[in-house]
Amino acid sequence: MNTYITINYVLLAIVFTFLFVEGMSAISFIYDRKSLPKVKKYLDPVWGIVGTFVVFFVVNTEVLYPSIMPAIDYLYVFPILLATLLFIGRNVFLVFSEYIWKDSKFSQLMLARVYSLITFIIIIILLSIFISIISGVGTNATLTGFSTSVFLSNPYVLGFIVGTLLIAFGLSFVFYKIEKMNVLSPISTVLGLFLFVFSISHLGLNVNYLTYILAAAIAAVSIFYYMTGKARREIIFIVAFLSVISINFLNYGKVFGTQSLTSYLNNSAVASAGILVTIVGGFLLTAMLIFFLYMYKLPEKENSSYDYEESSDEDEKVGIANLYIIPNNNKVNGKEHKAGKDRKR
Amino acid sequence: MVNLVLFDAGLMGYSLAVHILLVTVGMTLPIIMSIAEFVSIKYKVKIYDVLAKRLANALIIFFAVGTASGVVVAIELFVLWPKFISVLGQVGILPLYMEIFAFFTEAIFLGIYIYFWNKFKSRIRHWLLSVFIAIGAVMSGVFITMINAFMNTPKGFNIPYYLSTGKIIDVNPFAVLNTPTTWIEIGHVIGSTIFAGAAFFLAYFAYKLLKTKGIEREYYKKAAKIAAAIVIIAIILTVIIGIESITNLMVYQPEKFAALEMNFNSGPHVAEVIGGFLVNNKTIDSINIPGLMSFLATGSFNGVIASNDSLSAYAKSTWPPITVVHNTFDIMVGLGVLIGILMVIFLIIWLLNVDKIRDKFESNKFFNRLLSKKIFSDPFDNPLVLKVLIVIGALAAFLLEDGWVTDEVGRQPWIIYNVMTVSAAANTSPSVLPIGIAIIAFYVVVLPATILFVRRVMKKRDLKSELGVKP
Repeated sequence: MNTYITINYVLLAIVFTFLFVEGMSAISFIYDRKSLPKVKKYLDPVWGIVGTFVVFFVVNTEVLYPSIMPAIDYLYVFPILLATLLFIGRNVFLVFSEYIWKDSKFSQLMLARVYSLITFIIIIILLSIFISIISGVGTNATLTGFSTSVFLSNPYVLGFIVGTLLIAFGLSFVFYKIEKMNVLSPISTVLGLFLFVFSISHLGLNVNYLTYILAAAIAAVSIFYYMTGKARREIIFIVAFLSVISINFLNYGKVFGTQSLTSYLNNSAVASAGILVTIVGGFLLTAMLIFFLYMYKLPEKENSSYDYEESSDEDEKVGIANLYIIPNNNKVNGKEHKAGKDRKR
Repeated sequence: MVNLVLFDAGLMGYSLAVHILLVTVGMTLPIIMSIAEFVSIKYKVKIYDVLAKRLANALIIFFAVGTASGVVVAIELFVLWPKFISVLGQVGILPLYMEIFAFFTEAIFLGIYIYFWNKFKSRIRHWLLSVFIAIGAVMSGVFITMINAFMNTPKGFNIPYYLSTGKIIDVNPFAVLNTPTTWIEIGHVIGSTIFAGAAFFLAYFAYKLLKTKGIEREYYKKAAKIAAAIVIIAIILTVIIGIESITNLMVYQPEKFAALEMNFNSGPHVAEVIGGFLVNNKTIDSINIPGLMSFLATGSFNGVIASNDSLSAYAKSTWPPITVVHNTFDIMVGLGVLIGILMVIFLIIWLLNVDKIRDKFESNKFFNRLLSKKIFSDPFDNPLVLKVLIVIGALAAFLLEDGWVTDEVGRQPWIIYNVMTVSAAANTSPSVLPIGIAIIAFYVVVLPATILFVRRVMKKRDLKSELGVKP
C-alpha cells in the first residue's frame, strides 16, 4: 500500500465526512425550522474548519499528483469553478444568518435556508466530480473532454447522488435529534443505502462484504434512534469516515475508471518533503483539533475573572458569544446545559 | 473571439485584487484586536475589551468572505494555470501546503476565541488565542509570498535542463523557502499589507472621531491610537524594506528593474526617469533628474549602472508593458514615501501631546508656543489631521493594489521568470468564460455587501450597554 495514496485517501474521507454532516445541516434547515438553533450550535464553530479541510485535500492532491491536475482542470473546470463560486455564497449566507439583526427584513432562518440550497448544490457538484474521477463516467479516453449529457444520462450516477442525499436526510434526524416525523429517518436511510450500494456496484466500483457491514451499521444507527430516541454524533462521524475510506480502498489506485493512480504519483523529492510537512502539520492540526473539541465539550465557567474596577455587575461579565454573536449559541454546548441551565444570562 | 489567455490573466488578476483587500483586513484585525484585549487585561480598562469584542465580530464576518475568496484564488491557480501548477507541484509547492496549516491555526483558534469566549477562566489564556490567530493570518501571507518569490526568482531545480527538455530534475523542495528575493519580498508584502489594513481602520476610526462625541468618541479615540501606532511602524518598515527590495531587483531581476525605471541607459551618472510614456522606444513627457538613479543605486552620482539594468540589453518581446509598470512604480514610491513622511510628522505631534512629555517641557516657552498652535494640538482631536488620516486610508488601499500591479505586471510575459510564459501556462478551455464572468459579477456584489453588513452590525451595538453604563 502506497503511503502517499493512503494519506490522500484519509484526507478525502475526512473532507467528505465533514461535507456529509454539513449536508445534514443543510437538510435540517429546510426540513424543520425548529432545528435552527441545534444546527447552528454545531455549525457555527466548525464551518471555517470544514472549508479549510477542502483546501487541505486539494493542495495535498496537487503535492502528490501534480501531473493529474492538467487533466482534471480541463475536464472539470466549469463545475470546480462553479463550486468555488458557490463556496463564497455558502460562507456569506451562513455568517450573515449568524449576525443578522432582529428587525431586519431577512430572517435568520431565511438566510440559513439560502445557505442550505447553496450547500446542496456544492455537495452535488463535488459528489459528481468524485464519482466521475473514480469511475471515469463522462470523460473521454484521452481525458481532454467531459460529456455532461453522457454523465447525466447515466442512471447509476444519479442513483449514487440521490442515495447519498437520502442517507444524509435519514441521518440528519439522528445527528440533530429532529423529532418531526422521525419515522422518515430509517425509511430514508435504508432506501438511500440500497440505492447507493446498487448504483456504485453498477458504476463498476468494487463492493464487498465490508460495504454491506457498513451499510448495515448506518441503517442500525438510524433504526436504533427511531426506536429509542438515543444517538451519539461520534458514531455518525465514524461510520461516514469508514464508508468513504472503504470505497477508496476497495477501488484502490483506480482513477478515471481504468487508469492507475500510481502512474500520476509525484516522483520528485517534493512528495517526500510533502509527507514530512503532512506529519509535522498533521501533528499540530490534531493537537489544535483536540483543543477545539476539549473547549467545545467544556462547560462554561461559573465565575468570570473579568475584573474591571469600574463595574462588578454580573451582566457585564457575559462573554461575546452570548452578547454579540448568537444569543443562544453556547447554552447547550456539550455538558454545560446540565450544569448551567439555571444560570443568569 | 475572446483571447482566453488574457481572460485567464484578467480573471486571476481581478480575483487577487479583491482578495488582497480582504487579506489586509484579515491580517490587521487580529493584531488590533489582540492589542486591545491585552490592554484591557493589563490595565483593566473595559472600553478596550468592548473594542476587542467588536473587532472579533467584524473579523469573523470578514474571515468568512476572506477564506472563501482565498479558496477561489487557490482553485483559480489550479484550474486557470494547469501547466504552471504542474511545475510548481514538482518543485515548489511546499509553501502553499504549509499555508494550509497556518490557515488551520487561524480558523481553529478564531472559532475557539469567539464561540468559547465564556469558557475561559483565565483572560490571559483567552488573549493568547488572539496571538495565535494573528500568527496564523500573518504566516498565511508569508507562505503565499514565498510562492510569489519563486515565480520571480525560480530556484530548486535544473532550469537549463528543463528549458531544453521540458523535464524536471535535481529538485530541492526546500529551496523555494529561500530564493534570493524571498525574505525581502515577505518583509515588503507583509509590511505593506499590515500598513494598508491599519490605515484603513485608522481612516474609519478617524471618520468616527469626526462624527461622535462623549463616551463613544473616547472609544474611537482609543481604537484610533492602536491603529495609528501600527500604521506608523508598518509604513516605516515598508519604506525601508522597499528601498532594499529595489536593490535586490537590480541584482536578481534586472529586466524588471529596467522596466520599472524605464531605463535605457547604462554607465555612470544615469538619470532617474520620473513619470512619462514610452512611444516608439522613446521616453516622452518624463522628468529626468541627472545622476539620481546612479546615486540611488550606488550612493554616488557618478556610480555605474550595469548594462543589464538597461532595457536595451533585452529583446523587446520580453519587455513588460513599460509605461504601465513604470508609472505604477513611481506612484507607489512617491505616495509611499509621502505617507511615510506624513506619519512621522503625525508621530511627532502625537508624542508632543503625550501628558508625560508635555509636563516635562512645561516651563519651556518655545515648546508652549509651539503647542498653542492648532496644528500641534492633539492630532486625534484635530479635524484637519483626522481628515488627512481618512485620505491616507483610501490612498493606502490604492497603494497596495498599485504595488501588486507593479510586481505582477512587471514580471510579464513570464509566469515563472525566464522559465515559463503566461500564455504557455494558461488553461484555454472555453468553459472558463461563463463561470469567470460569474465570479467577477459575484465579487462586485459580495465585497460591498459584506462591508455594508459589518457596518450595520456595528451600528446596531449600543456602546453604553456594552460598557455597562446605566442610562
